[in-house]
Amino acid sequence: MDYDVMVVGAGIAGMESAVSLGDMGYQVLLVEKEPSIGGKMILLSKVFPTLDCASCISTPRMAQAASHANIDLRVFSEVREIRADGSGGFRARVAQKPAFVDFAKCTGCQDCEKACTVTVPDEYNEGLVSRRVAHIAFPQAVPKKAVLDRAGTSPCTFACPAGIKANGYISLIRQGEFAKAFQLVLEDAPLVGTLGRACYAFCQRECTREEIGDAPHIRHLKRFVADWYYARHAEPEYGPTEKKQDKKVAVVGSGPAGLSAAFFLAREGYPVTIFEADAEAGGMLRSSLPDYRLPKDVVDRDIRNVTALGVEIRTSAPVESLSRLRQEGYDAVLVAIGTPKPRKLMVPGEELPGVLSGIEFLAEVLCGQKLDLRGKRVVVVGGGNVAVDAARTALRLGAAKVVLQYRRSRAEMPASHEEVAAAEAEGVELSFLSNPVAFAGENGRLRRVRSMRMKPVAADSDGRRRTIPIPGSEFAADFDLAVVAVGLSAEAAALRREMRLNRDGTIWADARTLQTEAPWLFAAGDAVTGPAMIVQAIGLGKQASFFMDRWLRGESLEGGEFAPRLPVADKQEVLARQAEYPGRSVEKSERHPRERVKDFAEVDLPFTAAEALASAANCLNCGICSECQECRKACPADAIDFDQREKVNEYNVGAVVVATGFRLFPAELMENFGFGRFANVISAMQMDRLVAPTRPFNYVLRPGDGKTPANIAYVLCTGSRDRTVNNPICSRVCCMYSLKQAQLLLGALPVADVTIYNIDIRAFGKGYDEFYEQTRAMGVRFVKGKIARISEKDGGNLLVRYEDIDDNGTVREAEHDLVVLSVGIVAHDECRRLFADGSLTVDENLFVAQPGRQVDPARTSIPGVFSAGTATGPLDIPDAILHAGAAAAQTAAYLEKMKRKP
Amino acid sequence: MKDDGRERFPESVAISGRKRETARQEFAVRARVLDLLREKGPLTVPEVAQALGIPAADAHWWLMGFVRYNQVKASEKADDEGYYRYAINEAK
Repeated sequence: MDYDVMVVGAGIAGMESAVSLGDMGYQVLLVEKEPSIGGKMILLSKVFPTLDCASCISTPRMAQAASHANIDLRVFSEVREIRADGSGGFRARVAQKPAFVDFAKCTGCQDCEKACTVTVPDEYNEGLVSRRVAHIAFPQAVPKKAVLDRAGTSPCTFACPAGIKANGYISLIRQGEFAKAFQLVLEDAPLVGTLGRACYAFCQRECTREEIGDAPHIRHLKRFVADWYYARHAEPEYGPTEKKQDKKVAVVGSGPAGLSAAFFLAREGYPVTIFEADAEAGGMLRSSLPDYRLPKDVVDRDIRNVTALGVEIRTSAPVESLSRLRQEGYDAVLVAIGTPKPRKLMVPGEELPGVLSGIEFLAEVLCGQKLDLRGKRVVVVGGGNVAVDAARTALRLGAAKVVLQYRRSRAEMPASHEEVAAAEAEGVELSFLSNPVAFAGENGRLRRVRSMRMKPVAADSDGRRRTIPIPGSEFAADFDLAVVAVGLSAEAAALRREMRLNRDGTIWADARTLQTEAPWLFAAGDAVTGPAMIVQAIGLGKQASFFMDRWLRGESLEGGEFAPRLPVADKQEVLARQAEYPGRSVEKSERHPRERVKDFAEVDLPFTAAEALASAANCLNCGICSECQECRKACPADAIDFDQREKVNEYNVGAVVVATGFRLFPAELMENFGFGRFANVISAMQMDRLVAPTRPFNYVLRPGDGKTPANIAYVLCTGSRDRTVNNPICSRVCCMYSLKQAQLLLGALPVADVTIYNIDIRAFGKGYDEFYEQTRAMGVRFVKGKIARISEKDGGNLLVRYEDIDDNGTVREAEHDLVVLSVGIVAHDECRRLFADGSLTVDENLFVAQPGRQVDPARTSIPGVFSAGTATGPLDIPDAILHAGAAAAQTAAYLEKMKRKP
Repeated sequence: MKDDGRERFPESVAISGRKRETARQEFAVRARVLDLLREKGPLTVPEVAQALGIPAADAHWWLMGFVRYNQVKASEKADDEGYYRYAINEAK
């Protein structure tokens, strides 16, 4: 037996039972689903009829429960299932929910909370004010530990191959923290400016807001912070890291994958040298992305993010032998040579002058060769991004006509559809379902392109439809230049002796670790995957660096989990969180197509700060926590742990006490009362918060406009004693807590008028009737009569329409500036789910049934399971504590009986 | 009584649901509110609402959030109409 008894729920009743049983010497497992014990009582202002401070009574009990030698307290934990073990005891599965905070380290300083960038309604203040996603439940929380609300990884972040926390940097932009937003992107990828312009933005495609409109322009926001930061920091603000490793790394290739790997390895303290065959670093970023999409000064600045860490880049330094690098003292080598080799169409005439590959054509232009295409006719063959770039570049070089010819349909183009649309707007003619079959020359130069119409047939092994020529469909057209951009492949043949290659010429590497067959040799980027997106190459470079670091440290690669993250947040759940998500349309601007084809200046115009703020404001915070990392950076105890995950443990327990408490009636079900619609109609629990010592506002204010209320109404029996809402029972406490609040209000607002609308006043407990008389004597007005309707006047005052029983049922209206609904108590559903076999029976109002309550209180339908406090029905605090004592006594008796059982 | 599938009371959306949107916007409006208070404060909730063209209930909700995290402070006393005035918390 792990514990003698498990108490489920650590409100006042659960704590009472647990402490009583602990005092008797039983080993108690006390499980509370909230981050703090104390239940609802700790959130109350005072208790009736003595007006003792609720906190003052609760906190000693909380401290006792938390520090009791015989009580093992598990907060932020949920009982998932309880099963009888057949011998009088039980087997319980208890889940420890991830708080994403190491409780052993957390000092409760709240620095994480102050730094947090996402706000949500504070449920501990009944939604009257916001709290941060990183938070401590309330000031007297026990234990006083922070937790982070997380509902998964936001889809934008989850979609990013480089793990860039899009939700995080948007959250920082929303706060106006542009530098921090830049730094957050930089933590995951060094090429911030490049990605802000040339990334094909998986994040954007996955944005939940795309389904309802006004989605933030995620990539453009990244560009904004890069531009903002680079304008203020021509050079990185950092130098080489203080960490120093004694092992050296060589990286072959300075494209996105190589730069990314070098960046992350250098941050770990490794001396890194990049060997680049070309005259300048950057790989495809420099040689094939036109300036109108990616200005080269941005690439230069991005690369300085890498070199600032001490990374050396040797240009015009092709690597002939990887083994030689090893011999030269590099402990590990990463091959990230990309896919620079163009595929051919394999048709006659392809070698003619005037026929170029897409990569050759773009490289010539980008290397500054003056190609004059004025008045020329150009055909670009292919449907990928290189083809589109080549076509748009040809237009900018003055071509009179540019045709983009693709053998499949528009929908099947692998190119970004946004880029295709831009090309079309600029005047590129699109020709689908046709393919060249020969290039014909004249005077030793291309003159004519012969093509065939194509038709789609069944899908290929890769799932894409193949196309085949339509017999007799050949046609020809005159062109001065043909650019063939039908794919790229790796140029790794020279390395064949040293590395295993795949059939398509790419380098074989383990998919998880990116380690090749030689342990010291890793490979990443397009050279491994074939042509892919920049951000994918960056992600693989980062991944390779992670495993290279482990290998260099002598750690096993088996155990390392690269970039662990929570499952993606459910978009439908995100949309269901709110009735609606108002948004503000923010369009990004671009130069007019007629203007932009005249030069190579950027097409997209940058956001202004105001536009960036407005676009960021549309983010839905899908994962609730944005992962902006501000809490982690602020925590002086290093307690934030984003890698925490739920842990489920199983325990054998001798008995169970169910102390799951109650819920408050959802007042919006009383539609005529306007709760949730009228700002100045609040619930009594909200009023209890307003008058509590730890209240959300400094004063008693009405939520509609912050005015001090002068004329307050209470509506008793809201959602109780009411068959129309399926809750016919009296909640026992509403009359008295309303009287308590009335007295407290008259203390706080001596000139206020307080009216209590009631059916009758039930003051049945010790000292209750005296309390009622005292309240009357203080000037509180009691009106006997049911409320029919509450309506709102201009300015926020409320008109209460009621039946005045003491005046022959006359229907009257009275104006108040604040209405408090004294809501009833309803059963908590949770307790029914605890027992997998459904054997815990409930009464007609869904509270835990006590079959012999007259003589055997706290016993339930299951031997060995007892119920304490309001889980069994409405009780005031003294009765709940008494009942919890009875549950403890019953439990002790049961445990003793079981001990003596043969 | 076994679980008979009887309809249970839903969670209150008035507290956790509808206010989510106000909460979501809190940081987006913060600079505007704080700039206003810096320039023209101390102001009452209706004055802030009117100046920014936002509902008074939202203005109140956001101001209370800023008060909670010490960016804004309230006046010691309410004016004759019962409104407190809010100003930037310079001590922050």
